[in-house]
Amino acid sequence: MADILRIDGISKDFYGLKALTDVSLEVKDDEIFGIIGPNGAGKTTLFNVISGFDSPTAGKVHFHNKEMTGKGITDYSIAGMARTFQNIRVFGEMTVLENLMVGMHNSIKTGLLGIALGTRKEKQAEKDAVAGCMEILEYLKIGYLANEYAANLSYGYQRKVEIGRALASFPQLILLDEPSAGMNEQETMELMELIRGIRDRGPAIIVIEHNIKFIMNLCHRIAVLNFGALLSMGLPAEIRNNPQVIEAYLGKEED
Amino acid sequence: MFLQHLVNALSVGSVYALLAIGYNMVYGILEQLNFAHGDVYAVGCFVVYSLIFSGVNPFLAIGCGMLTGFLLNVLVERFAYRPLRGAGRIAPTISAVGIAYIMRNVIQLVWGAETYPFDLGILKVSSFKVGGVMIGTLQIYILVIALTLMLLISLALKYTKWGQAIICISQSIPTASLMGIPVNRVIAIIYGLGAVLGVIGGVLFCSYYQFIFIGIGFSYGTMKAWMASIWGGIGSLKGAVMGAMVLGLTEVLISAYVSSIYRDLFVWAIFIIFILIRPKGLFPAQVAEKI
Amino acid sequence: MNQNKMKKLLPLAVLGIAVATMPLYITNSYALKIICNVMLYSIITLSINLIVGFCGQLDFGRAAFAGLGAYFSAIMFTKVGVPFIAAFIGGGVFAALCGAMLGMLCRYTSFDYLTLITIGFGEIVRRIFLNWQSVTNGSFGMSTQRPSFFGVTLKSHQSMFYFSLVLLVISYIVIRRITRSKMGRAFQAIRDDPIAAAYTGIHVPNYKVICFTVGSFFTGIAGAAMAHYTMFTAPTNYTTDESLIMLQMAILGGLGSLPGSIIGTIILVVGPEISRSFYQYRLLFMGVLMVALMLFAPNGLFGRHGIKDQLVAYYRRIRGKTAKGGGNNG
Repeated sequence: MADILRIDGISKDFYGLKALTDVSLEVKDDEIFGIIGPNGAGKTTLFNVISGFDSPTAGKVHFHNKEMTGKGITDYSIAGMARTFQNIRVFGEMTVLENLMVGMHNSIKTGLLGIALGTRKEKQAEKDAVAGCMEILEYLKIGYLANEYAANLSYGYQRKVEIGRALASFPQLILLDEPSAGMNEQETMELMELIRGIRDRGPAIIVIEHNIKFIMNLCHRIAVLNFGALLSMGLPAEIRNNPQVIEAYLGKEED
Repeated sequence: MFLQHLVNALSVGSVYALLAIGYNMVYGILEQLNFAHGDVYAVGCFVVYSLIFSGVNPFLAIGCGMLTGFLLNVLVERFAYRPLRGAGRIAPTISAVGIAYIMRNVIQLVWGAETYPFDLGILKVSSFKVGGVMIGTLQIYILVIALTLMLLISLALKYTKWGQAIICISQSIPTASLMGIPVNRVIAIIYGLGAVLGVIGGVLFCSYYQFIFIGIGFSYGTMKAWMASIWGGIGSLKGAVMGAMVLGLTEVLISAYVSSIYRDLFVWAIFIIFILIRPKGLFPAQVAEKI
Repeated sequence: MNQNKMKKLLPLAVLGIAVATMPLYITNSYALKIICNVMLYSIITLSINLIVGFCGQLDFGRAAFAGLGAYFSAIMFTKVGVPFIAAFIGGGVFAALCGAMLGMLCRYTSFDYLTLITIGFGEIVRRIFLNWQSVTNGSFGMSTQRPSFFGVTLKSHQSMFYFSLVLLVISYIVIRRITRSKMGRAFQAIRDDPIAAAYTGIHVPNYKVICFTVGSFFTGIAGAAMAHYTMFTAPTNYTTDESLIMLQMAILGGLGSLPGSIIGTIILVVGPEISRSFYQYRLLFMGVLMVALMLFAPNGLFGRHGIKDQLVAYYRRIRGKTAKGGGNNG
């Protein structure tokens, strides 16, 4: 039950616009953590800072108890963090299987010489990687799409490919940015089950969402952002009843 | 001596500024390397040349050249660029390369690949001395024309409806279109104006150096405009002008003090180093990348 | 090997035998020269396909690297007296190192600036060829000799044919292996979405350097081979215009398709030879081709959704219509 991620006093300015102000929180390595807040509250910016896309103007980021502030995306990825995006980012001109193989990039141990000479070791490494990716695809129930080009798939399937690609890097923490966007009731329920299943398999998960019912039912703890600042953090029941949160965000929401 | 170089640099820089503004307007809005910028306005310059050669009134000739450039670029935009507007980065760039080649071949077929003497016949090319520095009247004309045009354009961008439309489009084409801005028409006019500025710049360039040839399009137009726009900052008019002046100054100074043979090599090297240190130029627009 | 694989390999085997025995039935030395040119240019096209097609880096300065390989090999072999194989491979390695340099310059630059840097790099390299008279002989060009190793000099067109063929086959196999490996996938990921690629743990700047390095090795080797074939090299062979022609071959064939690169090269090398009298319309033709390709078939002949795919789909649609009695699509 250790902290897998801890951020202290994170602030982020963009040419004078204060996107985040003094945000601190920790995420345990066995929980599903939710982040909610009105549009423009800074949720995606927080993800960007946590994962190395942006460096914070102030504050520190600790991942696996190691300070990672200022490091780049690739460093965070190698350290065991994976992410999906609000506007899905799959590799359109590659097949679904290839997308996941890219996710497995750092686990495949081959070098230029082995590739050029076509050694048995290289061929075996590829075979193992394909097997591993197919297993993930089967788990996500899209094994039959393995050779489809990602650009041809519908939104929902692309979302699954993104998640599969994240899983293929065997992360200890996955950041999901609005995964249920555009999904209907049924698909959202399936997604909830999927996320729970993933959490059971290993990685901790942080989810940004607008769907309140989704977050309340799924997450162990929730943080609420408003105007770039942390408004409240705690168990779903606490958040639900916090008057400040209700006023800022949940006020007009029907439950 | 240095002051003399400064004066020369101002002239060279002003011409480059005109070429750069025309180029920067297109790039700043559509973020597309308009590879064909130079070669299109070169056609316009050659039209001016032919008309003057046949004795047409110089001002009329220049007007025709400007019109030719305008129409050409509008046509090119309509048929070779607009269909590719959403098709990634590679396709529009290659298409522009194709247009550049077509224009160059047209010039070659109609006028030929030699160098021809160019003289507008209206500018009394005389010069006078001011404190030891030789200043040509042509140089003064160039500076005045360039500054006037730059002023007009920056005023137009700020205070006219068209100018505001251009700025909107440079931020987001779909949004501008939803706001009722006739995006296609505005973009067509931008391309057209870019060519017009290019023709003016090209004509001034040819008058200054007294020749015209097929290469004034790409080597002197597109390439220089790139460098000036990138040094000065993409998306800012001020940047394009400053970049052009800096480019002019660098060329003249290196030619004078370092080596005129290796001049281009040094300029390119400085260019590359500059891109590495300050990729967004001296006066970049301040927009953060979003994902 | 099962039946299906044999069916696929048979036409390839026939083609292979036909190509390998070409010098036996094509005796016209002019024709052989063109074929050798095609094979060596194909290597360059393949390298462009790797850099531009698979990795998405729009490089407008490839010709310079052919020049780097050519000059290095020529100077080492002819002037310095290094044994051919060392000089030749050295040319490739030298070009690769310069490619690494270019890659370093481009590590953090985005699309358009990158293209401009490649143009600038190419221009600088060409001007060095032109002006470093003591080493490169400047604008007069440099003469060199045919390959000679193990006591044998490849004097005949036939021997050069096999030399080029072997080079092409090796290059093709290696590049193909690269595209199907983790490295190739990393390149494609960078092409499709550099940010998402970084998020999967790919060090994008480093891979860009690797891409330029590996690609430039092949460009350099091909350039060196060409120089030793014609026994001459000059700066005019390595202009930006030349780079654009090479890029054209890759685009016409279809970025992302290795067989396409070869077909594209064949068309753009043999084509001008057939209609030499139209030299003055060359730029016009190429320009129209470029614009037309971008408008109607940006993926060229064999790329994804390229001309071949479109034709096949059209054919299938027609077939489907007649099979179902015309008109109704089930």
